[in-house]
Amino acid sequence: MTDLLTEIEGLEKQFGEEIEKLHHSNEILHLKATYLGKSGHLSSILKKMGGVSAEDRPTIGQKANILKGKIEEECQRLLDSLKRGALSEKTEKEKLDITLPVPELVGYLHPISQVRQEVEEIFVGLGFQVHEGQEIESDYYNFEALNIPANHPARDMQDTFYIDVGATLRGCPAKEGGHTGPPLLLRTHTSPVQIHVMERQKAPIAMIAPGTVYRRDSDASHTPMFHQVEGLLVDEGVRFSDLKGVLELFVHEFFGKKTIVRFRPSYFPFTEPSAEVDISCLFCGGTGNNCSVCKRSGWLEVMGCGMVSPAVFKKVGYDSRRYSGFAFGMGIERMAMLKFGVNDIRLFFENDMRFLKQF
Amino acid sequence: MKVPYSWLKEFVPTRLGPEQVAEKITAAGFEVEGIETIGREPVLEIAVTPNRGDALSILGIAREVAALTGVPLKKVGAPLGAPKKNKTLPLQIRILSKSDCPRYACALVTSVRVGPSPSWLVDRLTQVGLRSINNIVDATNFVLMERGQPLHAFDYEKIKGRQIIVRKAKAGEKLETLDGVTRSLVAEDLLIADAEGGIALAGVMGGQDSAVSESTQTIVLESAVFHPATVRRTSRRLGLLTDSSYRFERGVDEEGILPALARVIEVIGMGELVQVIDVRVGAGLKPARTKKVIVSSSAGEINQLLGTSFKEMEMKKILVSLGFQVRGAKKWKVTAPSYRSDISHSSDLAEEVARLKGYAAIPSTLPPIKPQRRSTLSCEKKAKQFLTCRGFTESASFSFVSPEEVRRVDPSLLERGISLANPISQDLSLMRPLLIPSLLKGVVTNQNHQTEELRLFESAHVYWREGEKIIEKRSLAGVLVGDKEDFLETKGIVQALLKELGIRRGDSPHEVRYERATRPFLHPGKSAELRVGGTTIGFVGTLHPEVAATWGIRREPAIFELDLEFMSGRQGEPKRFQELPRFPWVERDICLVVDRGLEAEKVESELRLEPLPIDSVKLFDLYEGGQVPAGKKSLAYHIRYQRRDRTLTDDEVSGYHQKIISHVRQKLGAEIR
Ligand SMILES: [Zn+2]
Repeated sequence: MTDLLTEIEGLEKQFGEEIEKLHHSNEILHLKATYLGKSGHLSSILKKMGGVSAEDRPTIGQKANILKGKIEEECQRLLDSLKRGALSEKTEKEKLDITLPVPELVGYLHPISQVRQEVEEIFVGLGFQVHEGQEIESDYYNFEALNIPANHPARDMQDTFYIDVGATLRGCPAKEGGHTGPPLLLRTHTSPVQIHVMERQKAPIAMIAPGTVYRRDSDASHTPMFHQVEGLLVDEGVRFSDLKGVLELFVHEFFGKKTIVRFRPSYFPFTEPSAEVDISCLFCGGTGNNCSVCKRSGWLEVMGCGMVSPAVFKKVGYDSRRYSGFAFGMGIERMAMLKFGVNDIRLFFENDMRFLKQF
Repeated sequence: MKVPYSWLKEFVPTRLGPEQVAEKITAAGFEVEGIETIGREPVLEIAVTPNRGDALSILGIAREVAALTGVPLKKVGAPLGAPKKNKTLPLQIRILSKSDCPRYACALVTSVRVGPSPSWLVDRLTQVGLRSINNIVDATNFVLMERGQPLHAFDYEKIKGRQIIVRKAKAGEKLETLDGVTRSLVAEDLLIADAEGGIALAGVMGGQDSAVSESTQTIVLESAVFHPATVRRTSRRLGLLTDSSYRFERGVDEEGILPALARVIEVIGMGELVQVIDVRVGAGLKPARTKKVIVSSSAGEINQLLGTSFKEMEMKKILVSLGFQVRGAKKWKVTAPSYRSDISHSSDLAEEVARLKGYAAIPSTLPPIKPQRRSTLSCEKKAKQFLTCRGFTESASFSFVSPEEVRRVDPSLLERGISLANPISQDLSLMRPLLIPSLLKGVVTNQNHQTEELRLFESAHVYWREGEKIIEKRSLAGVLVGDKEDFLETKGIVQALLKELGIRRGDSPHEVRYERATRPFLHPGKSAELRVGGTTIGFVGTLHPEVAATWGIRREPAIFELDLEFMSGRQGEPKRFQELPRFPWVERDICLVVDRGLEAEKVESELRLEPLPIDSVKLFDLYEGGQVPAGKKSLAYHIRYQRRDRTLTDDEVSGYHQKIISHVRQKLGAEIR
C-alpha cells in the first residue's frame, strides 16, 4: 500500500515538473492525456489496486481522485491563461494611435437656419403655427393691406425692389382671389403673411412666418436680402400686456434669463400702439462702457411689435370690436449677429466655409 | 431732426438737463440718437417717426416735453400785427386745384433790405445744420425749424400780372428751381404760378425767377397747406427732398399758418406789413384735417387693450396735457388738437396714454393660446437634417443673380427669367431660376481659399415666368466636389434623400425613375433626370466639363437640384407592417455579359421575372475590358429566392434560376457565364 501512495505522490511531483515546461495548449492537452487517459500514468497505478487490502483501497482511491482533480484543474488553468495571453497579444498587436486625425464627415446648418429653427421652436412650443408665403408680392399685400397707402411717408422706411413686368406679364397669380395687378415687388417684410393668413382663416390665430425679405439697401450693416420672422396672435381679449409677456419670454429663452427687456414707443402703420423692443447689450452687459455694438447706449434694438391696427382688421374683414391681437417682427441676421458676435452682415451670404464651419 | 437745447428751453423752461430730456422723450417714442455739441450748444438728434409730422419742429418737441414734465408751454412770438392802412399793393390769389391746397395765406411786406443775417440767426441755423443765405430766406428757414411750417419768400416785383395761381402743371411745362436745375413737369405736379408761368413747385422748392435777391424791396411771404400725397409724388419723381417737402408729406398744422407768418415777420424785424391774404377752400384734406376728428373711447376700452388698470382721471390728465379735449364721463368723446392728424381711433389714444405712462408701467402677462393643429416637421427641415448628416454644409445666397451667370449654365433659362425693374446693379438683377449658379459661385469662393473638396447645399425659392404667370417655388440644390468620380455617390445621396422624403425608386407612377438627362450644363454621359409619373422633379449629374471650365472650377463637381414643393405636397406611402419571413431564402448568382449601353435598371427589371418567388436582386460586380469583349460589359448579381409559406427545395430553385437564365438570354441577348 505505501508503495502505491508513494507512486501517486511521485506522479504528482513529476506532473508538477513537466507542466512547468509547457507553453502551448496542445502540449498541455497531450500531457493531460498522458496522465489521465485510459492508458495514462494514473490508470496504470490504479490497475495495481488489486494487490491492495480492502481497508486501504479507499485511502488510495481518494488520493488518486484528488490528484486527478488537481491535474484537470491545473491543465485548465494553464489553458485559460494561454488563451488570454494569445488574445492580449493580438490586441496588443492591433493597438492604434488613437490621437490620429480623422476626416470629419459633418455638414453645418447655416447660422441663419440655426437661429430660425431656434426661434421657431420657442414659438411652436408656445402654441404658434409656422406659415410661409411668397416673396414676389403685390403692392396690396405688402403695403395697402398693412395700412401703408401709396404716397405715404411710411413707404420711406422700406426701399422697395420692383419686378420688371415687361410687356407680356400682368399681375401675379391670385392665390386668394382679387387684389392683384401691378406693381409687383419683392416683399420688404414678412408682414404680408399676416394678411394672407387672416384672409384664409378665422380667429383665433397664433402664427409665425419666417422668410426672406428684400430692401434696396447695401452697405456693411445692410444687405439687399435678409430674413425675418413675423408673429401674429389674434383672439378675443388679447392685450398689450400679453405682447410684453410673450416677447419677454422669448428674449429670455433666446438670449438668456439675465437679459433685460425694454419696450419703447415707436411707429408701424399696421400696429397701434407700436413698440420697439430693446434688450440690455450682450457685449457690455448693458453698461454701455466703451461699447461699439450698442453705441454706448447699453441697449440693442431687436424687434418691432404692436397691437394689430383696426385698419388692418378692417382690410381682412375682422371685427375689431370683438378681436384684438398683436404682431411682431424680427430680423434673423440681426439676432444671429448678436448671438454669435458676427460683425459684418455680408459674411452670411459669401458662403465661405471658413465662416460657415464656425457654427 | 436737430433740436438745440436752449431753443427748446425758450418754449419749455424745464430744469432737466439735455441728457435727462433725451431719456424722457426716448421713452415716449422720440428716440434721441445722440447729443452733439455745436458751438457751445448741446443739440439733440431726434428720430421722429413718419406719423408724427407735428413733432418736426422745436415747438412740436416742446409740446411733448411739456406734457412729459408738467412744465407749461410758453408762448413765443407776437401775434400777427395789423397791416398799414395807408398803402395798398395789388395781389390776387386763386386756388384752382382745391383738393391739393386747402389753405393758402400770404403776407406782403415792403421796404425790406436784403442783406446778411444777424449772428444769433446764423448761429441757430448752424445748430440745426443749415447754411445762412440772407436775412429773408434765413428767417423763413428759422420759422420752418421752429414751427414746422414751411414758408417761402417771393420777390413781389417778379410776380407777373400780380397774381398767384395754385394750379396743376401742364405736361411738359418747365420751371427753373432755386437749385438752378430746370425741371420738366407733369400734369400731377402742383405749381404756384403767376400770370405767365410757374414761380414755385408747391411745397417742394421755389423758382429761380421769382427768388428774393439783393435788389428786392417788397416780398410776398407764403404760408400754406398742401396735400401730403401731392407734395410727395412730385418730390419723389424729381428726387428733390427738401425740409419743406419732408414736412408737407407728414402733414402740417392748418391752424399754424398765420402764427408762422407773424413769427417770420417778427424775425425779419424790418419793413412794413401791407397786406395779409388768407384763402381757405372748403374741400379739405383726407383724412379730414380741416375738420376736427372726434374719437369715441373710454378708460375701460383703453385698459382692456393695454392690459392695465390705469385710473380714468389719470388718463384724462395725460390726454389733456397733450392738447386733447376729453368730454364725457365713462364714455368719452375726444377731440385731438389740430396738429395731431395721426389720431383716428381709440387705440391711438391708448398709445398716447401708454407712452406717457411709459411702457414699463404695463404689466407682462401670458395669453392663453388655443391648441392649434400640430406642426409636422416640414419637408425642408427633413432634407436639411439629412444633408448635414451626410457632410453637406448649407449656403445662403442672394435671390438675385447676374444674368451672365445664368447664361453660362443654361441660356434658355434667360428667356423665362424675371428681372428687377430697379436692381442695385446688373450683377444682382435676375431672380434666379435655378440655385445651381449660386452654388457654383460658392465652389469658386472656396476654391480661392484653397478648399477644393466641398459639399454645399442651399434651400431657397426659384422664380421664372410661364406665359403671364409668375412661378415661385422652393428648390433644394447641392454640389459635391470630391477627389474621385462623384456622380454615383451623389446619385446615392439623392436617392436616399428622396426615400427619406417618401419617394422610392421604382417604376410605379408615384415612384422616381432615373432617365438620361439632356440639360446643357450636365455631363451628357453622367447625368440623370428624375421623373415621377410624367413630372420632372429634378436632376442629378456631373457638371459639364465645359461649364466647369467657364466657371474656373478645377474639378468636376456633381450637382443636383430638386423641386422641394413637389415633395411637400406628397404624403408618402402609409406605413404597413409585413409579417417577417419564417422560411429561409436560397441564393443563386448569375453573371451576364451584355451590351455596354444596356442600363442596369433594365437588366434588373428583366431578372425580376414574374411570377417567380424572388425576394431580391443585387448587383455585386460590374466589369469591362479584360476577357469581356469590347462594347460589352459583365454584370454579376445575387438573386435570392424565398417563399412566405414554406421552404423552397433545391430543385425548385434550380428550375427558377434556369428560367431566368433563358429569359435574359432571349430578351437581352445576354451571354451567361
Ligand atoms: Zn454694449
